[in-house]
Amino acid sequence: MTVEAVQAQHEDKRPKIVAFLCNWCSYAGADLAGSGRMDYPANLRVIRVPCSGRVDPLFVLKALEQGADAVLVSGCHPGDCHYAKGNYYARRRLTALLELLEFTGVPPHKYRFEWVSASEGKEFAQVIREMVEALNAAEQKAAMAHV
Amino acid sequence: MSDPDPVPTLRAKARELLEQGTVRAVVGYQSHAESGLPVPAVITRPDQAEALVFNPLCAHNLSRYVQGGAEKPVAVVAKACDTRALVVMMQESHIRREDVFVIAMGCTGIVDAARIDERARAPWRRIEAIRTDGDAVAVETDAGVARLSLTEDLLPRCVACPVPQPVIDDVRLGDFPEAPPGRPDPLAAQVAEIEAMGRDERRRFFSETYNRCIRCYACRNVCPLCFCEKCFADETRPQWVPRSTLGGGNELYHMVRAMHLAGRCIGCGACERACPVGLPLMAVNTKMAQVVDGMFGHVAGVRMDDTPPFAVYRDADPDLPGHGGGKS
Repeated sequence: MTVEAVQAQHEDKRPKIVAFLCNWCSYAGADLAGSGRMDYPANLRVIRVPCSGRVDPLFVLKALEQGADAVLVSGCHPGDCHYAKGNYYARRRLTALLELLEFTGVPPHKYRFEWVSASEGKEFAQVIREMVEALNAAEQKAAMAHV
Repeated sequence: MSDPDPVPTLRAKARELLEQGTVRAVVGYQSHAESGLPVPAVITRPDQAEALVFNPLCAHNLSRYVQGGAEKPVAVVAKACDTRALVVMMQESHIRREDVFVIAMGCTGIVDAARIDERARAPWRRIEAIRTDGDAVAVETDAGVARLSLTEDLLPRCVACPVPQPVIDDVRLGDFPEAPPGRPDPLAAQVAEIEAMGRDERRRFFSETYNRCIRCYACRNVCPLCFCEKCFADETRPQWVPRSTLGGGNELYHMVRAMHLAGRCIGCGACERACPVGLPLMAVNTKMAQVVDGMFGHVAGVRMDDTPPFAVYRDADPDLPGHGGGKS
């Protein structure tokens, strides 16, 4: 058991972020961050979706329930959706979901919803850096609480 | 037109609808054979109409039983608040307006049946009669009369009754209050109380709440608006929610249910009353109703021509945190 746990630490980068990225903007933005050789932590597990409008709040909640340390949902900026309006529907669902997560006391470092365009590789890298920093800070704080 | 006791009129109407073949069934309330408490009744023969009752203990939202798609409509006995569920069902094309004949019943609030135990002098087995006189409800049991009040003993959702007039009706029986009673809403107070906690405390509160859930799905099954033929919680490919509560999934189930009811929940509180382990299930539902009203200006089921709030959008909708809102 211990051996697996230790090995898993090497294979399995913690904290783990599950990212739902829209095919047309945010996935391309992540790609640009990579091809532009921008540095950002390798904690992402990317799930490519056709549109942020595809992201059911269930996906976000299921990822958290399964033990993801954080979930990112990212799509085209409002007005830029490849399907014209998918991200507007997503925006209603995600803003409502934000309220539910806050109300039920889910710590804010566990979720982030962002608009990232295909040209925003730098911004994408920054989002991931911020998320990992927030997760590390929260972990440190929790560890201190047990000292 | 004042009609202090609408029950004879209700029975006559039900009889008439069934005799003339206008409807295929009447969904109403009858007295339970043993306890005498009102329970749902589905009647299909005119001679059964005499069994129908209506009194301030008729808490069930009978729109739960309405199914569309048949040649003839179903008549449903509905309090003003219950009609909101029918309206949402129509807005979502679950039923058509012509699928239902709405018998709207005047109502000044439903009393909490649990109060009978508190107010009866001795343990009771059977309710013999329920008499209403103004604000006083006398529940005559085999162990004496339990006196309840239509101001002190109301169900939480009735205290500030936001919709005293039916949104839709085909016939109105009894007296309908003109305006909401203007009392503070205990459900909103509960939300405010939870919001006043710190985030960690809220997390503890909801974890402890959902940990107690036995996942009997009574909340879903009793909900007039949980009408999906296949619920995500029953799905096996993929299996979102494990079959056994030992495998976790309680919190996921309740959080997703809260999202599925956001902008749709009419606040009838049936889930909370059905819950065998006493979970405060209305807290998230009330909160999400406030959110959808605040962000999108939508209140579930109060206007026939509304569109479901998550089936539309506006450029000016609130944007994600850190973004300006509207088009960028």
